[in-house]
Amino acid sequence: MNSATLGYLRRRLGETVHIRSAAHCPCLLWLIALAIACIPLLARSQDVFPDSPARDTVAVICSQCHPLTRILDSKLSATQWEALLYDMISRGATIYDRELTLVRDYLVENFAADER
Amino acid sequence: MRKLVDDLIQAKISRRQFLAAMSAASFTTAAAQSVLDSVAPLVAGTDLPPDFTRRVTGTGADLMVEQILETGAQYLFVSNGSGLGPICDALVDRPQLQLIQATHEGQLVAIADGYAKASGKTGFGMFSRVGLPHSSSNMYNAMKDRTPLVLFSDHANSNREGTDSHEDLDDWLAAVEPYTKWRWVVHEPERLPEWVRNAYKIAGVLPGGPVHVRVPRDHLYQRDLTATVYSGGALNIPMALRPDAAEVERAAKYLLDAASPLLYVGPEVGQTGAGASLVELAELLAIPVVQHRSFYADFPNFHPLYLGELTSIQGYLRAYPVPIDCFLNFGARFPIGRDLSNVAVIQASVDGTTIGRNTPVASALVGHLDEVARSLIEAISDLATPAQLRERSADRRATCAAHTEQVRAARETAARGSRGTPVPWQRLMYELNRQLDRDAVIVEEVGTEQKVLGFFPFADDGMLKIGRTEGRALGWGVGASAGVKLALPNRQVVSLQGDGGFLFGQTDSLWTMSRYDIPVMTVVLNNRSYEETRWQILNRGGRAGQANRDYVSYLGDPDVDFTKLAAAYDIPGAIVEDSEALRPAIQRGLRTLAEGRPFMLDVRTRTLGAGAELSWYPDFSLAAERSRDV
Repeated sequence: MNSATLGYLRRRLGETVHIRSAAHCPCLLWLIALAIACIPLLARSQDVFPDSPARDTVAVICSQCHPLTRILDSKLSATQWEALLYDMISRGATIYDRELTLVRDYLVENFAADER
Repeated sequence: MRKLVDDLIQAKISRRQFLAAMSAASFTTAAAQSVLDSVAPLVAGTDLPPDFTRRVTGTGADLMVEQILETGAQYLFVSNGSGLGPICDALVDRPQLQLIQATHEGQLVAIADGYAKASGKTGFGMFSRVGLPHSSSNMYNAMKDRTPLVLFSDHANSNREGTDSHEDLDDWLAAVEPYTKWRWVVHEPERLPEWVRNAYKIAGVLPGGPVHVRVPRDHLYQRDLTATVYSGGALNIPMALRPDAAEVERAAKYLLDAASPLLYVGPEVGQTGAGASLVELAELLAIPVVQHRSFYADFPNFHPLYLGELTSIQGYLRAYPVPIDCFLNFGARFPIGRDLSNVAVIQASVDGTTIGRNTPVASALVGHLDEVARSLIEAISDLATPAQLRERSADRRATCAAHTEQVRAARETAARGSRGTPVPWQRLMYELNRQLDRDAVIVEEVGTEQKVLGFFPFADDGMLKIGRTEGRALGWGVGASAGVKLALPNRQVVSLQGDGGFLFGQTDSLWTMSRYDIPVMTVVLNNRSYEETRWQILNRGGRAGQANRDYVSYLGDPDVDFTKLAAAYDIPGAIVEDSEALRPAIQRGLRTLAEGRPFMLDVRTRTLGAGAELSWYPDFSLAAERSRDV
């Protein structure tokens, strides 16, 4: 997790508008609590979130609505990761078209279940 | 005395005759003169249109129906009950009021609600007195949405009230007090037109809401009653109130000074028809827009300034990292789950009780939202030149447009890339959007609104979204879609339902659709699960989640075939199990609508997330527990 990304998340804590409940997401966690939880998590997760040019992007995008632990807790096949990512985007996860492949490839490469 | 005054106003008696009659009734001369003086303005030189009022003689039901007709009502939504007998008698000579029957009071209210939301008119309904509990679920939904409904029922005969008698309670009204804007039991049948007017007025004045009026059956049957019925023109009063000018100027300055304003829109925008003026306001200052939970799409969701729902703000701030410093709430009811203590909050609403109720505001704009928007546009334009406004907002405008375009592109990529068996729900939305008319109506009850807002282009001159209700009590959407189609017969109407939501007693509305040839395509997203409930329970990490036990959400046993349910009502349908079969099935459905019949599309959709693989539920077989095979 680079300092720029951590700084982004810390700024989110200090910004004037906070989200206290993910009222429109499928999960219930407040973003402030989420962000607070994420910072130490992300700070120590540099081992479980393998380093990669895509890592910071994944962390920011995938923490919009739910904790990053969802990723750590999931072991999905490549097909399942793609399906889940497409589902999240369709439900409102804000991602750019150019980031889509980056995020998908990172999840598949680092969190895929053994497909044997 | 009331009759004497009424006769005097109606010019049936002269002033001299009035005074003589008052004297004969033992009133003093001074008292009689005082009464005469008080009504004089109503008698002397009154210049009302000749058809402003008319006298009607008949049964209580006749009086009631005559006044309902004067409101312009075209439909009366009913369910069965012998208490409707007198209404049936009244309708023999009044075929212009079309009955639309439902087989369940709850669905009756849903149909009326959908009709009111789509037409902008008050919905009228009537059910049996004992049907009130059934009706209350959607009455609650209508109250949360402030939908104008007038819901009648019969009531125990007037000589039985208060005796806890057959099919009666001593106080019915207490049960619906939280769900109604007003409620009443009629005790004077000659005042029925007055109570209809009262109910219609209270239901329709913003913020609207359902009202419930109960009429003792003997009053409805009572003959030879005479009452005054008022014409429709007397009942409709323009309510486009303008906001306070000083507050408008204050709000305009906040907006102009803001480095990062945000416009937050809610259902009052749609209810007041303020869409076009709000777009103009947003474009004036390039204010990004977020949609609150709403049964309308209150801002064109494919507009470059439209970000999405609440959680979309984070993504926008990635592109435009300036903290929000001015929050303009247009028609959304707080709380919205945000800490706005360091932000200048401006709230606009027709309902003064809503403003500042949950969140302190820097500026309060009470008025009709279209008037508020126009006033703000005027004030902002007075404070800055067009060139200054363009310069001030150029960076934000360009950034927001680029951001939203890229987000929409990603969503389309995700939808087009979603395929297979079972069908990804987003692929279903994508295919529907490609096939439906550009002015189709989506009536949805499928979880979060983003599932619909992300795929269909809603706008004043485009598609229309109705649903979900703010109340979120399931069992609304199918009936509502029938009501929407009645209001908008020349637009395609599609009802989007989850299998779980459909099973909340909504089959009854298929009966109504079939009887009256109401061509609605009901699309059931059938993932054999109450998906969001499952997520919320299992993700909580409690004992059930830890044990991977889904106690209440699995719907696959029995595995319902919704086309068979529809077939029971003579409604054709199709099951779709693979994304490649979507297009021909949708086309078949649209052909059926064109032929004038409803259609059921049962789409076997994929479920994901926590518990997706689970089919466990607390097993129990009563048959196995028996000691006799009966």
